[in-house]
Amino acid sequence: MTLHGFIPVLTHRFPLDALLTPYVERYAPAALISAAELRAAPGAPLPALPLMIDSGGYQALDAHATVVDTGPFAALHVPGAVPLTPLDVYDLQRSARAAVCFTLDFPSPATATTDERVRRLHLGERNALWALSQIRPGTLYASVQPGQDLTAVLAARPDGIALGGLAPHSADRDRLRHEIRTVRAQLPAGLPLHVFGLGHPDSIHAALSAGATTVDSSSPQRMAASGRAWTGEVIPDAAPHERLRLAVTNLLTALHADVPLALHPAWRPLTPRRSA
Amino acid sequence: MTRPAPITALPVLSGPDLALACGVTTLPVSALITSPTGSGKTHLAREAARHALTCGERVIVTVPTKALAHEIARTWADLPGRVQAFTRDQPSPPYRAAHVLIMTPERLDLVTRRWRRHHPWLARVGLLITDEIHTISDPARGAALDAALTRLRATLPLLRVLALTATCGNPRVLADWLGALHIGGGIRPMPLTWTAKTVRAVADKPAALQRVLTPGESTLVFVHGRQRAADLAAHLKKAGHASAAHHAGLTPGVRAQVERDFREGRTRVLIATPTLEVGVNLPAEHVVLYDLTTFGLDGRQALTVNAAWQRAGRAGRPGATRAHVTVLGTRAEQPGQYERGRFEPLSSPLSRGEHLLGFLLGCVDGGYARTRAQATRMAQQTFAAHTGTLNAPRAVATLLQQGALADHGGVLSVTPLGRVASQALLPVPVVAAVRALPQDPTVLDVLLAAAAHVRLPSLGDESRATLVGALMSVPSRTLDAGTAPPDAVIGAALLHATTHHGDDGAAELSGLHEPTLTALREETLRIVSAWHALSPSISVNLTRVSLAAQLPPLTATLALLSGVGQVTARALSAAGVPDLPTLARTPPAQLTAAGFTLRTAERLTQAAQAYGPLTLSEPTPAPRTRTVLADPARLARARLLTVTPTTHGWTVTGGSQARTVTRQGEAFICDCPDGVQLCKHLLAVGLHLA
Repeated sequence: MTLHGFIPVLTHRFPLDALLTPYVERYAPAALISAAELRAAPGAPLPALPLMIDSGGYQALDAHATVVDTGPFAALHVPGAVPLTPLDVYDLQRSARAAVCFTLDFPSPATATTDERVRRLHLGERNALWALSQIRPGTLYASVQPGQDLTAVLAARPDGIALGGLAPHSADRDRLRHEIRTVRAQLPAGLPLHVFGLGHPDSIHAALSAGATTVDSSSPQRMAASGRAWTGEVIPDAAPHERLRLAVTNLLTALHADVPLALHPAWRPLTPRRSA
Repeated sequence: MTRPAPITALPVLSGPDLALACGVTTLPVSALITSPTGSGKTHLAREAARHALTCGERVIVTVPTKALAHEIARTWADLPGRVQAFTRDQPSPPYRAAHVLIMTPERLDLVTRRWRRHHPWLARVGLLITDEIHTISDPARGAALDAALTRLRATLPLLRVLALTATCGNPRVLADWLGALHIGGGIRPMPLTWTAKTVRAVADKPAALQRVLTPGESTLVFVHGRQRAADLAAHLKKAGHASAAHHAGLTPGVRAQVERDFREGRTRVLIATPTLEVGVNLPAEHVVLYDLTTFGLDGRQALTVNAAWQRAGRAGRPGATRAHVTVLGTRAEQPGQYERGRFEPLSSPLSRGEHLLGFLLGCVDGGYARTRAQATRMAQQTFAAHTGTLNAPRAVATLLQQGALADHGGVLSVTPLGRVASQALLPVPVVAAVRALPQDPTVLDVLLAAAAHVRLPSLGDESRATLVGALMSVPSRTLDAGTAPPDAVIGAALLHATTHHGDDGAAELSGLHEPTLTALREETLRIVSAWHALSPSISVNLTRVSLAAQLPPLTATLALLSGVGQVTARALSAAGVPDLPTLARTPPAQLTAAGFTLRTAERLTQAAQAYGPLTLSEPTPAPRTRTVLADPARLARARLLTVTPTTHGWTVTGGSQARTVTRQGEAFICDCPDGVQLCKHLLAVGLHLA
């Protein structure tokens, strides 16, 4: 299946996510959940809509995380956690009946050396090639980083490409557009391009207009948890129901982000996407 | 040459027709529809519900009465989803199983107090239909509707509201509060014809009523009280009119029969109390407004224009062929004022006393407010605040003082007392009264304490003596101490009768309507259940079970066993097992002979044996004190006396001579020569203090 637009991220950790879930189920085309979340809460109920299951590779941004080459693929070691391998990710994605899966890549923290960045790019590509050679648990997107040569990955015929590493630069909309256009230019026509971690409506708009098919973020909840909405409303000591209202506002704003926020009309309810 | 087509005027739409044409049922907007009864508001609501269901949304419908809830559930059953009325009258499925949920404001109020628990299904509600929204002004029940609407709208940011009423004097204010479009107007398919008849005195009304009745015409006559309805129906019957009374005192079966007789033409004149004002639809051609003056808590009050039009709107409903209204009134009652239809503006009683405390307690209990600022924000969103002022900080301070809330460094939380009061929808002092029960109370002590907090029906002296006399041999520390307020004794006597003879038996003994006793028992049960939740004890639990099952306390001990409800307890009682200790000694074979399966019989006896001995408080009654209490004549005389507090005690006047009552420790002493332990002067002081 091909998805379009903003995909909200849900977790099992935060009460606001649980409150927002029915609205995500009704109005969003899909939700994104990390494999790490699935692993932390096995058996927890999953939202009733198509799921994108991320690999959890974002944990590689932890300053103490290490990437270990095990031969056919590479594993992520985070202190205090069980190592995460592409096999684990594969099993979690399959058990969650993921509509869209992502391969395990290893974004680099800002403090990483150039050698380590190159090494991680290489190991992430190896994981992608390994995953693409397996029986696919769902539609499988290969996770890549900005500036990465996509020739080998595209040769393995992924169902889509997922571009990470742009979240720290989300305020620089020109850079977003440039990186996304660079990747899009290498892709065959019609191949979906997902961009990780963009939640501000203007970032979403920039990404989609530059050629991204989908973007994801938990920003609607994070903004609401701090008592703010992208429409300008601020509640300094928001109660749970007020945070939920702000989160719904942010969610709908993000889902409407095919127009710039500055031009955005006062948000209004969308037509429900699916039956209750 | 062709002739031009004749010019025909386009229809001018208004009311529900205009709303339908504007797409109110399909667009994501809220709307307030003010239009006459019979102009199609219900059809509009139904179409809005249908559209919401086809979009995958759920719908909540609030209606003022349980009867209306069931009628809508029946008539909307063909909608594409499960339509369910949620009332206490019948077992209901879980809320999540229904797609159209029909409930009273009180039920919705309770749902919103637990919104996080209900969130998975509640968040799927896209449309709230509030029928008869003018009831938000009702002094007794309007606060629940205001509270429920305020909280639900706060909980569901995308909720659309469709509010309907025929009578609203300030539609723009109400629409503004709801964030809704206002669409007014609307045309009744059968216009009302009004006639005002002036009588010289109220006593002339029965004769005047007979003069305005047309033989064979279906007529609803609105009066204010049950007794008036019964008397007038009997009067008309004697005069040859096929008439009947319709009021809340009738059992559901009798009421249904009365309605059926009227619908099918066997009864042509129905004398109805205001319960029919917003009740089920009956096809009447003629409505008579008979009582134009009410006697409420604030004394005499004129029938409001809103209420008059609600009643008048019953004329010409589907099935009727004419629609006219006759207003019978004295010159002072100005019967001609109603036809003009100048509706009173709606306001909410939520800002008053207990209502505001209950609302804010529910907000803290439901997690809507953890700080004073959040509580104030919630209060500001009510219709009461929209149309007036309210003092939320003072109410929060009162709740803290009552012990319902706790303040931990500016963070508010509900105490166990507050939680129980909130979930039981009871005032905090009523729930806190469990702490004033005597030590080691008996079941009658619990009934006496609870009866002090319920509204008692008036009772004739003879019935009162019989009922109170039945308490003579019932163990009670409160009665023996002579500290029970007289009204509480009468209330407890009525409740005692319901547990020993059932509501119907107690109705026979007291001369009251059975539903009146059912309401009294259920109201008391709510209080006692709250007490049990806050401070569980065997006496309170037995009282609770006894009231719920309408069983004597000893038989109710059977229902203390897990898995034994009132039905099994009754069956055991019929099988010769009067109480729990007896059940522990009963051989299973005796139960199987009475129809229990062997497995059940063994399980019951084993459970009774495992329960252990019952330790019930059973003090010996002190008959002397009770004889005085049971004297209704003395009590009646005490009610006529005037009590004035003095520095030494109280002066009681109104009898042959003024008397002085003083307090010595816990005892009250009177200087009268009556020579009884509890003279009428002491009773008067007791009434005064109560």
